Amino acid sequence: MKRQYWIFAVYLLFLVSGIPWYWPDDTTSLIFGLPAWFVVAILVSICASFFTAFILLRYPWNTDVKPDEE
Amino acid sequence: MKSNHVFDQNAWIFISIYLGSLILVGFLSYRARQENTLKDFYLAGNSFGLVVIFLTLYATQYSGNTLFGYSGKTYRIGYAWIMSVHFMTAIVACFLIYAPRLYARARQFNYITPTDYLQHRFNSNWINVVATLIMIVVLSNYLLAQLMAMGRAMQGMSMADPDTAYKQGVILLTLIMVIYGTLGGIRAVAWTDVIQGLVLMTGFMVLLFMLYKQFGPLSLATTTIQQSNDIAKINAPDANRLREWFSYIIIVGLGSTLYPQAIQRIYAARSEKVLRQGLALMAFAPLFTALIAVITGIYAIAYVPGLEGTASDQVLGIILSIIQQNSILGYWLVVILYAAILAAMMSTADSALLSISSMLSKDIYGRFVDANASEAKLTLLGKIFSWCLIIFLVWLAIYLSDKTSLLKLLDRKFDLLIQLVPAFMLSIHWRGMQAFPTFIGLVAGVLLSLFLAYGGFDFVQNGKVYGFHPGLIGLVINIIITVIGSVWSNKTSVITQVRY
Repeated sequence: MKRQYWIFAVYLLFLVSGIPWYWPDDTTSLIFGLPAWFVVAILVSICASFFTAFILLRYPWNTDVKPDEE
Repeated sequence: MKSNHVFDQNAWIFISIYLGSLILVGFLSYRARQENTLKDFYLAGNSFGLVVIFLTLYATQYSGNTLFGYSGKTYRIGYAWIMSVHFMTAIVACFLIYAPRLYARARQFNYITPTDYLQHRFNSNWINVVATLIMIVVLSNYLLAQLMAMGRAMQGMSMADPDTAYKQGVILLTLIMVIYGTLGGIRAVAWTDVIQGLVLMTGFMVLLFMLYKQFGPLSLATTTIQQSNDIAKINAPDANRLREWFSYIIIVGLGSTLYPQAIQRIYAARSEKVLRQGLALMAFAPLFTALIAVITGIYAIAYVPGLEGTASDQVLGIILSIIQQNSILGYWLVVILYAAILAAMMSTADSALLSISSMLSKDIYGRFVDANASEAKLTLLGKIFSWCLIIFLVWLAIYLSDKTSLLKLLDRKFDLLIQLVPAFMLSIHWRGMQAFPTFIGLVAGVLLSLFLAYGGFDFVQNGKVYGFHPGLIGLVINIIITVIGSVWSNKTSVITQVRY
């Protein structure tokens, strides 16, 4: 797997959107009867799981060690 | 409220068959060994296929802490402990940083222990000793937490008085674990992990089903909490909790990939494809494990209010007690779940014990005491070290009974383990990284983390500096020293080469 910087960018996006810093402290919004910020955090986690699985299955690892890396 | 389930004879027969099957697997794996070498005992000759690699990663990663600790923590802090699902997902993502390159090197250079990579990369005994000591201390801590959790689990199942039940649980379950572990090495540990992983997964699903059947939907629990004194536990987290959230993702995500048993599972995979597929499956594990533990804690806030301190670590037991009393189905589901709880603890503990034994025999004895020791001798010594260490830890687990909370043990582990990030993760990508600054950075990071954690400072609240783990601050210093030192060292060496 070569260095793919866009992967880091996507994980950064998950980090920024998953942590509920952008919700007001006194928010009372509900989704399916649960706090909205809580539901969003779970959804981001589900997306991160699928993305991680995609990366792992899509990109084979290079298992050759270059001589100058020994 | 008491969380005692008191199983009848049939339940004990079920539990005994389950525990007996682990010993049987130990014997079978002993017979399946191919040679009396370190590679066969600690890596099973790099033979793990997809099912084994996934279930051994799963059973090892999810422990007694996940069930008892996470439900208890949710009970204490509220919905914000959903951060645990994030940091457990982060672990798999963090493997991407260095597992591909480490796997390639392990294959080519036949690494057995985690520090084999460090020795090969830096050729520095100092780095090796410090890294080995950190890993042994961390794993011993981890192992101790599992042994204590075994005792607590037995307290919930046995008719004996709590003290006796605790001692019985610690001694009996540890004995079973160390027998199959020393019989078959990693092969026994991984094969039992397959059983334990399946039981654990079933247990979590059963738990979710039982919670819904007993208490109704989670939205109902939320409504109940909204009308109670615990309404603050629903609120979006405050700034301090948000910093803690970020800190947990980084420290657990990076730290957990550096557990020696995790590294040795990277080495043990049959192929890179199998390892990738196993990790891909692991990416979903937090959703059917940590998330269910959090949901359990939420139900407990709603329906078992009023617990404080270490009693809050027992919320899972209390919830199960309520379900058990409800019906014969509930009773048997709780029995299955208790088997899963034992599976979670034993599968984590056996892997930790095996990794410690490999490091004590190969990295300490084989490197510094008798460099010419045969592999058969080192393997035998590893088994002896396992028994000696476990006897000491069993004594400690009994001595420390009810003296500390599970998560307090968890917190300090990662503060230390994360200091190995530059040595493993940075060095595998940056050939210019030098041994001496890496060593200085490592020591500075460890000392600063411990100083902040145990220094008694006013700005350190609940073991964290404004919400950040001390280990994270130590890691920043560690990386700065390593990077600046290596760059400076490389420049000096270039100047020296030009001059002469």
